[in-house]
Amino acid sequence: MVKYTYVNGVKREMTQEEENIFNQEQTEWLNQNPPKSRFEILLDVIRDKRNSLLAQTDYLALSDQTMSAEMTTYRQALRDITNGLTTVADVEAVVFPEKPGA
Amino acid sequence: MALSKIQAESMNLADTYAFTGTVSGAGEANDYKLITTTEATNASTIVFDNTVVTSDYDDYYISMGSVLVSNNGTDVHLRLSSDNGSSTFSTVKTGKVYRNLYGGSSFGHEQGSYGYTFLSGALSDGTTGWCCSIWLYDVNSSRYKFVQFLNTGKHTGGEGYSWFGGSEFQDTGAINYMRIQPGGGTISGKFSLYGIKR
Repeated sequence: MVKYTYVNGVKREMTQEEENIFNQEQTEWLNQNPPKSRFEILLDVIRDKRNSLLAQTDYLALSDQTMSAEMTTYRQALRDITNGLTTVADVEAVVFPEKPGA
Repeated sequence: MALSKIQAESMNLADTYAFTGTVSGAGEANDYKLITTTEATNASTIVFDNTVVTSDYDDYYISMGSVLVSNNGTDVHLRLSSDNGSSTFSTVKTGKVYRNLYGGSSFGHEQGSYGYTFLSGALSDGTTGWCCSIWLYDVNSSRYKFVQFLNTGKHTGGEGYSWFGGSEFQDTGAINYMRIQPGGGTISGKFSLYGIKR
């Protein structure tokens, strides 16, 4: 497939030398950053949201706070939310627990 | 059109007036000028070479808008050169912090040493664009070069992210070449290069 470069706004085909350098640079990057599957991408989103929700109630774990049983259960459910997820359908079906009153 | 001529002949603002004068002042002190704009579709690289990256300016600013990448999950990179692209600076210390705009983890950071600045995190493909601002300072100095960048767009998971960071290009040559390219696949969008004289 022909590769194109835009030099100062002007489109042209890459020279063979330019294409060789470009291909080498992309190969290096892809080797260091292999494409993620949709499952891995969605799992990252779940983990990100889980971490955020846990952070919102972290202050309740301080020594001068008393955590309710409901909050303890809620936070444990958040920690366990990725357990058993093996397919895209599993991840898409995840429902986050409802946060109890502090 | 001189004021006296306007007053003598009147000026119809509904008309089109051809400009035949000369714009002067490029490269003068305190100048800030749009040098060139590239509107690219499915490009492997976007290049500004020594025709437009000259010692006339102290700093450069690159504005990138409506940017799309063809491959889901790719970064976008900036490479610099002092020999018009025959080789690019090989040691670049880069750091950036990011924030999920959709309420995920509030904060994160990445850093490393590469042969380029990696401007974004993993961008998603599709139809939602990404935008980026890059500032390159003291490009003619004989010291290491510093670059700052700020950008916002869709992360590979489909949520919006904002990244900001900087890089130290460990090379003392004057910059006369800039190349923007995706880590994988192609890139589309509007890329404008501005020169700043201080």
